[in-house]
This record gives sequence, C-alpha cells and structure tokens, in this order.
Amino acid sequence: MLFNSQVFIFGFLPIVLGGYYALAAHRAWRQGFVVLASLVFYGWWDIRFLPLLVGLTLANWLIAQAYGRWRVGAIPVAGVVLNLAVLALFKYADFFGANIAAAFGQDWSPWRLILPLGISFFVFQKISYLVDLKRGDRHIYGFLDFCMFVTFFPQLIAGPLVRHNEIIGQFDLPPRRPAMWANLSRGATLFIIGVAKKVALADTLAMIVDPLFAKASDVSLNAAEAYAAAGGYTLQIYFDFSGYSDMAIGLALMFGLSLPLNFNAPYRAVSIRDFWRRWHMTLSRFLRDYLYIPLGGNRCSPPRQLVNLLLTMFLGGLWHGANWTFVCWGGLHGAALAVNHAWTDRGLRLPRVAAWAVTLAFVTCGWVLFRAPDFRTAGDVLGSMIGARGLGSVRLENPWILAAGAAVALLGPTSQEAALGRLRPARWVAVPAGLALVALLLMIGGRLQTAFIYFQF
Amino acid sequence: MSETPDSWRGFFATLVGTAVGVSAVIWLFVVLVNPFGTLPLSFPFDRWQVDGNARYAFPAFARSGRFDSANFGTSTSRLLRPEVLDAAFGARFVNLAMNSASAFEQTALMDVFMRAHPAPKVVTVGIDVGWCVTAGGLVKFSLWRFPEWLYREGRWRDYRYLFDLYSVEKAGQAFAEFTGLKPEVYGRDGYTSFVPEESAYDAARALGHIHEMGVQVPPGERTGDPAGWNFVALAMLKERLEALPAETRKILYFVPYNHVLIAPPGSAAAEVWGECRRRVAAMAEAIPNTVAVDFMIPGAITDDDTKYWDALHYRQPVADRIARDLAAASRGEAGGDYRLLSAVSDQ
Repeated sequence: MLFNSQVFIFGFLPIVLGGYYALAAHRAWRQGFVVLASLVFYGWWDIRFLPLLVGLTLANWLIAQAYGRWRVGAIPVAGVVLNLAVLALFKYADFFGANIAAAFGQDWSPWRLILPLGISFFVFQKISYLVDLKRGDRHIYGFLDFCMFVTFFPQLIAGPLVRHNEIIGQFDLPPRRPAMWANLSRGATLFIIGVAKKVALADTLAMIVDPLFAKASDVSLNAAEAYAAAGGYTLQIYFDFSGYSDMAIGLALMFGLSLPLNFNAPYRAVSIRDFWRRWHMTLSRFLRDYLYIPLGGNRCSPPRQLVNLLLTMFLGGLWHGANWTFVCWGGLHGAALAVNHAWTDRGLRLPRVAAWAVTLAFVTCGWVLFRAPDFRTAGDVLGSMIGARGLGSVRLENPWILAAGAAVALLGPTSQEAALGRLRPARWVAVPAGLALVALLLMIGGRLQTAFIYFQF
Repeated sequence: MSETPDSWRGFFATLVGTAVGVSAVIWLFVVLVNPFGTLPLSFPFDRWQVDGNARYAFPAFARSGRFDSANFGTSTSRLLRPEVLDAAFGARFVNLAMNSASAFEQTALMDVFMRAHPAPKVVTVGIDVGWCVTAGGLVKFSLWRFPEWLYREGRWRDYRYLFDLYSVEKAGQAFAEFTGLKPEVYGRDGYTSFVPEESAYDAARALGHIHEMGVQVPPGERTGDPAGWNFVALAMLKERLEALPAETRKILYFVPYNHVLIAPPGSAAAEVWGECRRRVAAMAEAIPNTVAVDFMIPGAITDDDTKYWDALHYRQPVADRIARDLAAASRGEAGGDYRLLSAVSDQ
C-alpha cells in the first residue's frame, strides 16, 4: 500500500502505531510487531514479493552471523555477490540479455520477471552493511534488530538508504520517552507535508507533464510545450521523491526513530557538486562511500579521477532503471561533476546567480533524458527547447501549479526545517495541519473531474 | 512558547482530533445524502440524477424497480426518450446510454441491470463503432472516470469509497437539488437532452460540425479471412444476451450515423462493418427473441444533413422516430429508415 493512500492513513498507520506504543515496554514484542506489520505492508502490493524479501533478509543475517563467528573476509564478499546477483537477475536480466544478444545480432526473448518493489533500496542497504563488516565494523546484530533494520516499512520501498549504524542503535530507546509527543507531532507534520508534496503538487504537475511527454513520443513539441514539459517534470520528480522521503522520515519519527535526511532544497544548488549534496543525499553518500572512494576517489591523477566519476555516475544512472537513457543521464552528471571539479580546482568562479542558473538549466535538461522513454523523444524535446521548432504556445491544465511548485522549491524553509526545526506546539498550527490532512485525504480518494466539453454544437 | 511533553501532546491530539472529526462529519454528510443513490441507509429524499457523469448516476437507475426495460449504448442512443419507448413497447424504459461508453462500460452496466432485473421486458442496444472493434482495439474506459465499485454486488462496501472530493461535490449538489435550493438538471429515467433546443437549430452551423468528422473505422487487428476476425466486444455482448431469458425482447440496432461517417461500399472500412453486421445478425438468429436492425444505411435519415446536430448526433424528432421504428422492427415490420438483419421470432 502507498503512504498516500486512505487505507494506509486511516487503517494501517493507526493500528501499527497503536500496537507499537501498546507494546512499547517490551523491546522484542514491539520489534516483532513492527517487522510483521512491515511484511504485511510489503505483501499488500503483491504477496509474491514476500519470499524474496524474507529470504534475502535471512540469508544476509546468516552471512553476518557466519562472519561474526569465523571472521573470514570471503564471507561478506560472497554476501555482496549474492545481493548483486539478485538485483541483476530481477532488475537487469532482460536489459543485459537484450543488449548482449543485440551485440551478436541475436534476438532476446524477455524473461519478464516481476520486479520486487524496493529491491534496489533494500539490496543496497544490505550491501553497505556487509561492506562495513569487511572493512572492520564489528557490529553483528541479533535477528530482530537486523530484520527491523531491513524491513522497517517507512524506509523499505524507496529509502532513505539508512545505514545499520544509524538506526539499529536507536532500537534500544524506549518509545515512551519524554520526546514521544514531540516526535509524534513533528513526525505527523512532516508526513502531512510529504503527502501534500506528492498529492497536491507532484500529482497535479503530472497532469501537465504526462500528456506533453506522451505527445512528444508522437509529434514534435514547440518550445513553449517543451519548456512546460521539462520544467514541469523537474518540479514533479522533486516533489514526488522528496515528498516520499518526507513521509518516510516523518513516519519513522512517529515511531521514535530518526532517519537521515534525503533532500535539502536541491534546486537552490549553485553547482552540480552542490546539487548532489542536496539531491537523494543517502544515495549520493552510498555511491561516494561504496563506489567512488574504493575506486580511488579524488586521491589519484585527474584522468583517473574523471574515470572514477564517470563510472560511479554511470552505475548510479543504471541503478535508477534498466534503460540506456538512465545510464546516459548518469554519465552526463558524471561528466558535469568532472567539469565542476576541474573548474573549481583552477579557482574559477561564476557569480552566484549565474552559477545557480547554469546548474538548474543542466539539471532540467538532464531530467528530460531521465523522463523520456527513449533518446529520440529526449532529443526532440531538447531540440524544441533550443527553438528548433519555433516558440509556439501551450495550453495547460492548472498552469498555476508550475509557479506554486517553483516558489516552494526555491523559496522558504525546507520541509524538514519547517517540521523538525521551526515547528512549535501551537494549536493554531495543529488545526490547519489537521484540516490539510483532511483535504489531502479527500484528494487522494479522487479529485474533481473537469466536465468535458463533449459537444460544442 | 514552552515545549513540554504536555504541550506537544495537546498539539498531537488537536491535529489528530481535527483530522478525524472533520473527516467523520464530511463522510457522514456524503453517505447520508447518498449522491449516487446506491447506499442502503440514507436520507429519504425523492431522488434523481445529479451527476453529469452517467457512469456514477446510472447504476442506481439500473437497480431501480421503477423500470422493466432498458436501452444501452453511447451518445448515439442517448436521445431516445423513455416515454416514447414506453408507448411504443408498452414497457417502462430507462435509457442507460452513456457518452463515449466503451463496450466494457456498457456490459458492466448491463450486468448491474440484469442482476436487478433477471427477466426484463425489453432490452435494446445501440450498435456503433465501439461494438465492432476487433482484437487489440478494445479499450476498457473512456476519458470519463468509471467507478467500478458502484458496479459490484453488495451495497454495504460502497461506504468505503465515498471519501473523496468528487463525492463531496456531488453530495453538495444533490443536497441542494433534493432540498430545492437548486433546480433539477438531469432526468429521472436516464434521459437528458444534451443538444440545444430544437428552436435553436442552425443548419449551416450543423453542416460545419458534420463535416468535421470522417468515415468511422472500428479499431483492432484484422488479417486474413473476415470470417476469422475476432470481434471481441460482440463476444462480450453475446454473453450478456444469452444470459437473458427467452421472454425478454432483445433488439440490436446499428445507429443511424450521418452519411459522412458511413463507410463507402468496397472500402476496407465497409468490409469491417459488413462483417460486424453479419456477426450481429448471426447473434440475433442464435439467441431467442432477438432481432438485429440496421439504421446505418443510406436513406431518409442518414442522407439528410438537416436531421443532425453533428455527424453522430441526430435531432430529437429523429430520435423519437427511431424509438417508434424499433418497436415496429421488433414486430418484423418493414420500414423506410431501417432494414432487418435477422428474422423476427415470436415467443
């Protein structure tokens, strides 16, 4: 079930939260309850997903136990290979198969394996733990701790990518501690902000973006349409993903657990390096710590550093989806990071506003490639943006949402600043927050439908 | 402001209390007004259709005991007035034709009607392009939102689907209409004219609309011998008609498209329509008390542009004429506006 669904907000969340606090005094009971609830949450989508999640969790826990007992370095390495193999099988088998077959002039019959939800996230989470063990981390966790670390439903599907040593220690904390009501309040507020980002902003932006990209697959857009599509998607993906992260972090806080932040106003970035410090921060640090630095990072010759960056970002792109457009998107960002490094190494600087504009323009063009179904469509939209097909005009449903979205993305406090920093226990804030939740729940149930002008006699 | 556990507890209680309390009030209002007329418990209003999207409004009509006969179709059948059909057939008709209704949507509504009326007196179905699609051409829904939950059995479960902006809007509208605050807009038997008053008819303007469209070609994959083509929508229709008892009078009528939409003889589109006609005729022959009638032929209606608002939609007097023609055709009588595609069997 989705966080932004009525069944989750009216049903699942109150029951699980109530049960968790009712069992708060018993660590094992409350953890077991949350693990079971998380499995229900995961299985709600498709019960066929469950065996893989449970099996992989069990396998990784056994691997860690074996390493704790025998301290043989090959054990976590084998675990990493197992996790990568599972990811490759479910997510990339058809992609690699089709490309290898094509390279030899052969056809590929797709296997069409179902892609277990969140596999990219929970596999990376386990890999980070096993790599930490190999690097000398001594944490060998108990079964419930490990299960809750992996399956904890707020972060199970789409992160943030939480590290074991960031969260498992928190399981010791009694939920009914003095901060409980503040955690519940701040968590609920951040959750509501996340739902608002997703439902009110991202989903409304999708009504603009989806038809334009669908049109771009068939015919060329004019410049106005292309900018609306690119700008709209730039905002949509931010509100969609950061909204999800806000919901996840807020939910975890309602259980008294702090998750790492994932977004920090990325469209205010003044360089690509700055952007990646603000966008999907937990993935960025994963790629940095488990890929870029082991490859040599920036402690090597400039050409080697360039290769490291490109390789890291290529793989980062591939992680987003089994399609060459994602790989290329990652590669473009890798190249931009390399240019950024070279630029700053030479002591060059742009005025802040120009740096911001160049960064945002690059990121926006990158999102076109990320969103387009293929290179042809992406090239077509980008071509239209530079005026290849005239300025033209565009009629949009809810055009105000673009301005509203841009204002939220570029101005004012971030959601975590608002909910975790500035929020005070004032009832005049609680009432509108409650009303906002009602409005969002109604919107989740179904929006108003524009009366079609079906006949214009 | 002091930040004590108590102040945060007050904040959380206020937030949750507001959300739960306001949600409960809104939901209770919606379910008591019962805007779509399907819930077991609600205010005892004299009800009628308040929703412009017939997909929400018609399940209640389809279940209503006020009717014993129904007309199904798209906007090309919506102008058939139940009172004219009633007089022609001696029945109590509801017109359940919905704008742009796909075959799936029409059969879903048929299922609701047939569950509530296991032995209806007459069922008429307007056949147009959506019924003649072949494999690969079938679409489930149109641009209109289709609430599948309203079409399922068991009315109690509907309570869980009524917490959304659309239901709130319709509940407000229904409350205003049922209490006389707003005038009644839609009909009580499924019929609502969506065309302007006859007095506003402008032949020149209509002619412009008529020529905005071209020949209708049923979508779908078709290769080889037409006898092997898979008319997927007709298979769905056949299943429903076969479930009706023999005493139910069943009439399948090809709607009178304006001549600009009718495929010229010898064209590929004409071949598709021809095969579709053969399949419909065969269905009528095979199912007891069923007749297939074709209004989609050159003639006094389809060739006369002044009988149309646009190429799909004929004028109200034509609709009344078709309603009477349907009754005549069901008795096996010949007529100038139509031709019978199947023999008429008496029960």
